[in-house]
Amino acid sequence: MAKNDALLREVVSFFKGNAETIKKQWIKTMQARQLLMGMDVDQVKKEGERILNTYLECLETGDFTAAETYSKEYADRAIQSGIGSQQIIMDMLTLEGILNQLTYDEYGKEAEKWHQVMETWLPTSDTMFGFVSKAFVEGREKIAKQQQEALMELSTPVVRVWDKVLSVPLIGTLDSPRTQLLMEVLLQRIVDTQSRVVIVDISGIPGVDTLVANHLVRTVTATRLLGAECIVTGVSSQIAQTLVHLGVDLSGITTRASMSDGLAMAFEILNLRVVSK
Amino acid sequence: MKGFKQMEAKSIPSIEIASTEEIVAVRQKVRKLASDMGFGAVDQTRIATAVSELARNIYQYAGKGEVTISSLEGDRRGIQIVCEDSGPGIADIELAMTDGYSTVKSLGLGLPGARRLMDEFEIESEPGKGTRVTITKWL
Repeated sequence: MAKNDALLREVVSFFKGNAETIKKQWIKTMQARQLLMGMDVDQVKKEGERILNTYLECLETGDFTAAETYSKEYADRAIQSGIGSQQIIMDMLTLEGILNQLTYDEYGKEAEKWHQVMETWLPTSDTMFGFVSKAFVEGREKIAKQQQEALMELSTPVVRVWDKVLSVPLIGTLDSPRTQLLMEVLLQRIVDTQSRVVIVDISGIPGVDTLVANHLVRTVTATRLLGAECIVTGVSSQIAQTLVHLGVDLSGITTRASMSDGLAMAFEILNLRVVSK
Repeated sequence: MKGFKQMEAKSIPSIEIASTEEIVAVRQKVRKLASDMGFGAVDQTRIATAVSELARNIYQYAGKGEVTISSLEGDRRGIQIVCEDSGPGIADIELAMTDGYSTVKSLGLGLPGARRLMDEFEIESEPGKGTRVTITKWL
């Protein structure tokens, strides 16, 4: 163990002594591979310095907290400035390549010693590479999740089309979390606006299976409990035939072919008439 | 059925069902194949809806399973979909095929509805082993 500690110290001070060479070589290689697009020279220098310092800290202490912190920060920066996965991966691999060459130049003549030196620094580099990749993938996943959530709210708009008339144009797939959100938003809006008619338009939904039908029935029932009337519009001829075959009973639901028919009916319920000037 | 043996089937790779996203994907794939084969808009919707019901059953009751879509090319052309899982199975198939019967407070129309939407419907199930439903629609 004592011998390994001594070797570790030797390797660390060897790398530290060559830090300037390593950084220069790193920038040169990355530029030659055209991997530093979107970064100016200062940023490149800083990034190279950060990577090397973090790596040396981990190697010296055997503690990867610094690598974890750095990876997360770097991934955030990279994702924000649009740096791709290729560069993130090449960053670490390039450093590894340079250290490899440096070690070979210094110790290559004694095979046994060279092997021991490699064993000393390479696993740390691999582990740090793992942290960086993981952080990058997680960062991307986080963004995908945020977008999904944003889309979910976007896709359940409740629009007030007239005094006491709300409209909900549904688009895409009605999966359960979205339906739940729709129900909450809709019921709250009915209360807030004291609406009496809700038009649910399903022309943007590609298919109505029994789950979607069940959601619709529940939405209509809940709306009625609040004293509002619910009209379902946009039932295409294909969907109508499919629903009949499925055996779904929508006789308790008021339906109209188009949104405009639905609006006309809403006016009727409210005792309103549209007249030309 | 005459000519049944000479029938060739072209399958696209099976689709694993393990989340609701894959139900959407399988619905889109089956609709695309049905449309490519020349099924009309109403039949496309029927087939996609039937598959949606069965894929949802896989997800709901077994957690995961597989859907295989194939086009039958022979004397008679058609589309065939096999939905199978290694889930809990169905103890009483006749009861499960009854309109309005559900163990999970759904409408209870999935299986009987899928049968009505398709031309052929075959179900095999063994409690503890799993379920396989094969549905076919002829052009």
